[in-house]
Amino acid sequence: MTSRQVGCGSRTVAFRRWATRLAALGFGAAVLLSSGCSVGDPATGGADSHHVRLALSVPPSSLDACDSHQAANGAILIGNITEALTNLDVTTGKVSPGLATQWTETSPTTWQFTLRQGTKFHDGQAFNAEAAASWFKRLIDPNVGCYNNSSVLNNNVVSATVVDDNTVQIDLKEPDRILPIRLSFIDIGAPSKDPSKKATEPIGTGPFKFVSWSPGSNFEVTRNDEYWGEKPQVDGVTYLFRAESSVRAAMATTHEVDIATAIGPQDADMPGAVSYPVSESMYLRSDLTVAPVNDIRVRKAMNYAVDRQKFIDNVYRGHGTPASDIVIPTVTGYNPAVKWDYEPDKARELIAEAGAAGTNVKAPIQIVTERDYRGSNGSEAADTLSAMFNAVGLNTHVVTVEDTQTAMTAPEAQSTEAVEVLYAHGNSYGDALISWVGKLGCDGPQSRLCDKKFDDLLAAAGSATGEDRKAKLQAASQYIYDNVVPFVYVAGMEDTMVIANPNLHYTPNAGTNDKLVLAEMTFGGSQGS
Amino acid sequence: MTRFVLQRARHGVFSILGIVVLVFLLSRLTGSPARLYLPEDASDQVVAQFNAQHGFDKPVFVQLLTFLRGTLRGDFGDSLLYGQPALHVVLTRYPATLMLAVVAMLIATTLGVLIGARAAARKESLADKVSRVISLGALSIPDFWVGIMGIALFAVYLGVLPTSGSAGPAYWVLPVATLVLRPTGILAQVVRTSMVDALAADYIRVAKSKGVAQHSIVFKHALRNAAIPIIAVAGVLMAGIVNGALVVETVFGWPGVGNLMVTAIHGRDFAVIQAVVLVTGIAIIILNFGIDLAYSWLNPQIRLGK
Repeated sequence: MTSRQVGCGSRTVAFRRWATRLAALGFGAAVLLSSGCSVGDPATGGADSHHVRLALSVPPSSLDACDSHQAANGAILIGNITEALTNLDVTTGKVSPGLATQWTETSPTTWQFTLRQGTKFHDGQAFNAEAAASWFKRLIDPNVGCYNNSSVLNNNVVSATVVDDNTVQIDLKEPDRILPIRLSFIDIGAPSKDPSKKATEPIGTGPFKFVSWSPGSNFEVTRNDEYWGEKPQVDGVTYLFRAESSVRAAMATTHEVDIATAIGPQDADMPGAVSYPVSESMYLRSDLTVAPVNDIRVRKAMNYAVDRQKFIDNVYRGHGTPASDIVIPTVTGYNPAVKWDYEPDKARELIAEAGAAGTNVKAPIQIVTERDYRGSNGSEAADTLSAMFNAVGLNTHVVTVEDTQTAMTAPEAQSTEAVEVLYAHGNSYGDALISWVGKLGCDGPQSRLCDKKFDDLLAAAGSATGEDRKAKLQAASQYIYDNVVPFVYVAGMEDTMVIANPNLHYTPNAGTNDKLVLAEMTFGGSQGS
Repeated sequence: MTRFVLQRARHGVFSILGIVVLVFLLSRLTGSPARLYLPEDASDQVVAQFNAQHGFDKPVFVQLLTFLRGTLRGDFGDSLLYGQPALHVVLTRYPATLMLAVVAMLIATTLGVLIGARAAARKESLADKVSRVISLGALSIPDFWVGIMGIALFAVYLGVLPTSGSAGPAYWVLPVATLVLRPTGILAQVVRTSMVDALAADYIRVAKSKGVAQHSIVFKHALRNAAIPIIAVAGVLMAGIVNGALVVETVFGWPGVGNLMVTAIHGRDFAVIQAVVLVTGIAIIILNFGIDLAYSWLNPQIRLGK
């Protein structure tokens, strides 16, 4: 017994000695490695500073202004570092001067823009007709592959020429009555040394200048004190990128940032949170060729089967509005007469009618979705819709795919079953024609429809302006409602941002996701949030 | 020994070649790179130009040869997102990941060996049982959950640590702690099992009978013989951390290669994706090569092929 106790004691002493050495070695090495290993994120700003720290969900994928219409790039570039010829007020749809002070449609396919004089790029180069023309030439050059050319201009610009030092002319393939609206999304960068390559340091004419970009860490801008317009109150901004909504919310709670954007519905009621409607609408794109969705009665039934308010309450905690179109009500061409209400009995009747007419209404229908689509959790958005369809007698099931697969390919082509693809479409231009041509026109890149009569209605609307344009677009909308029903309309989306700094004032709007304009931020007394 | 090293090096070269071909094929299986990268509205002319510019218009076999030639020179093409050579982009982000992984593994190995050895020395004691339960819990909890809970507790509720970022030593605590948990749990279990077996071996009894000091028996004789499975597991865990820091880097906004990979995937930056996968693959092969060498040093029978 005694020897056991001694042995045990010596073993313990030896173990402790060895353990201490090992622990000292391990932790010493770890501390040595980590101490002073600062690899990013400068700590800047503070409650009293006019330097703003902003948490965004996605870093920019390009710093070239010719890719600014991609949301991740536009949130940083548009209206801050770079500017466009025109400005669009998304709340009123009114176009106002930007880098161009006036414009004229000199022929159906020719526009001339008079440029603002005395404006300079951040690198000192003058902004004039030559700079603007060379920017548009670069924009349409297929070798450069600018996102904005196809996404915004619809590959419709043929050339840009210098008329005089302050006037640039833009020639189009096809007439475009809303070119000034489109150009509000075409930001202009400085002529670069190698125009064939994408810029990695954005240089524009805007109220903020690029300072640094540490990929994976932060992006810095500072105020351009030589800006031609009104000086913004914000001194500078550090953008931080965090993929997780809960982390961005935590950063706002701990005041590590002044503003955190793209906050998920679960945090949308936290202090400082501001929810705002965006220009996006969620919908299902229907397969028009495979049973039972090839029967318009079934497509109508699916629209009547959706309890939109319940969907919004369950999936987005009440943040959203029931939708009956893929464009939001403020967009020109939105037709208030087109309305889909929750009428499950009517849905059942239509399905019975289709079944009696020979349609196989029990044939399976895939509801295809990306995981966590549009801020929802997992596949719950698709699950909720699927349950609503099945409740009226349809046979739907959810298929979750990789995000790129849904966004960039046509899932219909990969399935023999009828497919409904969950999408969200944003229209920042304030004009429905752009949405409908792209998603329903015969040549639309995302269209699964070719209806000549509808295309004629769109063409007629495209050549009109003002109230006439609005009426013609609404007529096209009515035609789709009565004769095609290509989508199941679900919800107008809302986003949430948290403004953590009580001295910072900013009112997000439908255009905020495309351009987070720093000059709209002001400082003053507590916001009371 | 030289023969053993050459044999392992040869295996490594073949593995790298396999990875190169796999990376190439997998990146092509995702569909047309032009259609993935360019907006849906891109004209056919723009798509054709993009394909010609990046060689996607050539037969796949020619593309593979070009890719192999480029890989041998370390040329994966320019990053679409950063406008710099993809390899350069990846290598500038690797140190952040490696530092995180090395710090985490040093701590995890230290803790794992301490906890496991102590549990083995006190087999079936209360401390042993508690450490087994805790280590089982540690290895079972997903990184993602630990990271988010860590932020909620230490940053939001207690306010003692920053939520995320990498600006100084305090920013290391949560990502490292998150990464440490699982390897510590696994290593503690492995060390305990190996040490229990080793301490029951005949040579330990002989050593005891010869009067060898207890600490020498445990840490010199038993631990060395128990070290082979420990090193094997630690090596796999290290590779897992380098590879799987993706989740932790994404949660904590750590500017490492995992974060880069996520951004590259979102931005369809194929050159960077290929470079990340290949560089990570090579790093893991080198790591395994080092583990093989350590094996053979600890147990000469391995290098003799016995």
